[in-house]
Amino acid sequence: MTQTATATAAAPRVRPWRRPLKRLVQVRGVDRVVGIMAICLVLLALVGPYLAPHDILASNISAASLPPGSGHLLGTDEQGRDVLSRVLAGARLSILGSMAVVVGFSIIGVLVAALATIGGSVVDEVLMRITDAGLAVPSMVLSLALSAALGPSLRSAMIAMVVTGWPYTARLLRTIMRETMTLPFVEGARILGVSRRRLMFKHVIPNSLDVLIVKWAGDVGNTILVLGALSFLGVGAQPPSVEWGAMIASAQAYVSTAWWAAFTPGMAITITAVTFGLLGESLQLRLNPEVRRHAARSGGSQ
Amino acid sequence: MTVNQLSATSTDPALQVSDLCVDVDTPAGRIRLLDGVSLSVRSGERLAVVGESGSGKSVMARSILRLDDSFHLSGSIKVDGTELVGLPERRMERLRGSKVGMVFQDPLGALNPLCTIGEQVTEPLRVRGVRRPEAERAAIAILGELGVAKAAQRMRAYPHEFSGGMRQRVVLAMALIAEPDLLIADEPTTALDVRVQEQVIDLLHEVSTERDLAVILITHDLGIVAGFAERVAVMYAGRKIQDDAVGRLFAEPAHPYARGLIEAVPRLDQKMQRLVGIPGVPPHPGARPSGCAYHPRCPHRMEQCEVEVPRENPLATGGLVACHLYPADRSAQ
Repeated sequence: MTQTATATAAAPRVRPWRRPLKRLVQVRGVDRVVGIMAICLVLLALVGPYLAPHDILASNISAASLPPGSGHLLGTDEQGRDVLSRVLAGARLSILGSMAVVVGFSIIGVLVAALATIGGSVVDEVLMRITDAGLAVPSMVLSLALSAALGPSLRSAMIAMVVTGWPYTARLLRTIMRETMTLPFVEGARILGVSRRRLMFKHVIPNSLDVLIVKWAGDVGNTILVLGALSFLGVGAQPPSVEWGAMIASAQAYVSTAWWAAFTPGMAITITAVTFGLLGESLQLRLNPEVRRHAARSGGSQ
Repeated sequence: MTVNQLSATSTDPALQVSDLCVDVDTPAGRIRLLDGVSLSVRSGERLAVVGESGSGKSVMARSILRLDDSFHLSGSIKVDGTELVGLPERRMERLRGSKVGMVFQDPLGALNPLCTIGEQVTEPLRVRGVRRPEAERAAIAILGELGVAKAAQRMRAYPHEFSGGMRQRVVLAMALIAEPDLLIADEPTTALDVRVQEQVIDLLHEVSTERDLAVILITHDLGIVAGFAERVAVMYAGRKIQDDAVGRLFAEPAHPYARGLIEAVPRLDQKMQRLVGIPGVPPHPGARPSGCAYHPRCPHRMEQCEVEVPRENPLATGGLVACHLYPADRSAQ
């Protein structure tokens, strides 16, 4: 008896996340390429600034607007700064910034959804009307206004995007959690005397998050676009900080003479947004059994 | 504790339901789902509640645990002397699992796919403040007792690694680990194949005897009832219409509906005859017939049946029946 008990205690605890991860490693084809690209982009965001071959801030007017080649692989911008170096370094703010925004509004969204689910009909009604109001206003316009009001900076833009982003997550998650609440094991746990709060955190939220994982990837792609747009419009990252949207903004005046200075960060944004968008789609296919079954039926799975 | 007190507690029923009514509000108005049901179960007793779909079996079970906020209860439900009707939700939470356990129909759905068996079986103890090692020891012990082989290793497995019958054992372990006095099994075998059904029912029987546990088995499978229960309550349209020892009920069912139910069971030990069904369908809870709700389908209906709800009267042979064929004065002779 004692022996068996110690055996249990000593054994490693297997986390449920390991199974989906293992499944992802076995992925082939387009999904695999997308997955590898997404991982590379995240790595780039982490180490990008250290890969830059040239100083990213030092301007050199005598080397301004040099075309690609000529010692600078992707040319230089209007101040003579190496475009390749700046795009590599900019990955940090663009990608990690977007991820932070997504994590931020996801947490708020999940908490709002959880409260709406267990808080009774009045709480639910109030929270969902606030959510609806958030959904009704175009998020791009609202974050533009908010960020401008807070004083243009990358931080303001990120705060504005968290504030405008959570209603989408809250709406989606509330529906999913409602569904999860009706699953027999949730009721079963209630019958065994589990309190509502523990019910939420132990049983309902973990069993609703698979939907969110899918949404995260797509959200990151979308957020990179919006963050870039905000910076481009001047309410996001300010010069001299290196952010892709801000780079396009400062290079656009010289686009007729040095198109590469605007084109390169533009391509970086496009590639990143498309990669995370596709990642979201392939995760959707792999983690959401309903869609997966549909894909298998129509012969779309590989 | 004196001898008197001891005998007093042992005769106290584990569950005493008196005149329980359950109403629910719908867009079409208030509907009465359960209409004055009285029932008691002694500790160690096995009671089967049978009836067609919609007869109120599950409503009663769910009301005892107060699972639906939309149900308006009146009457009285006493578990081990505690009145549950009107009890604050906080205290109800503490009572669920420790006084009353429940197992459901679908053993796959009853387990959280993201938590290990161990986490789930220990949960009823963990939420009551028992420390992990102690709770795990208790879980391994009860899983072993319920016939889960290598319980200590299997604690770390996930529900999908278990077969249907094994899952039902795990669900049973979860219901029993906090040592309730009463277990409600709401069609626990419907989702299982016949052989496994038998195992689960045998297991329930065993557990009930060993732990002196009162069990309410809700089912529409009379074949299971015969081998399991000591007493049977037959429900129809939100009312209890007969309550009798299992042998008597099967041998000479008093209520015409009970008779119809038993005649509708195909039997292997009798010469093949045409199977007799009950004509008509059970009424919708919102549109129940006046008087005895069974009268439109009843072969013995009298004028009285259409106007007056029959009261529950004791039968001469023992047991209770609610039917005008058995008026109180005649059966009391």
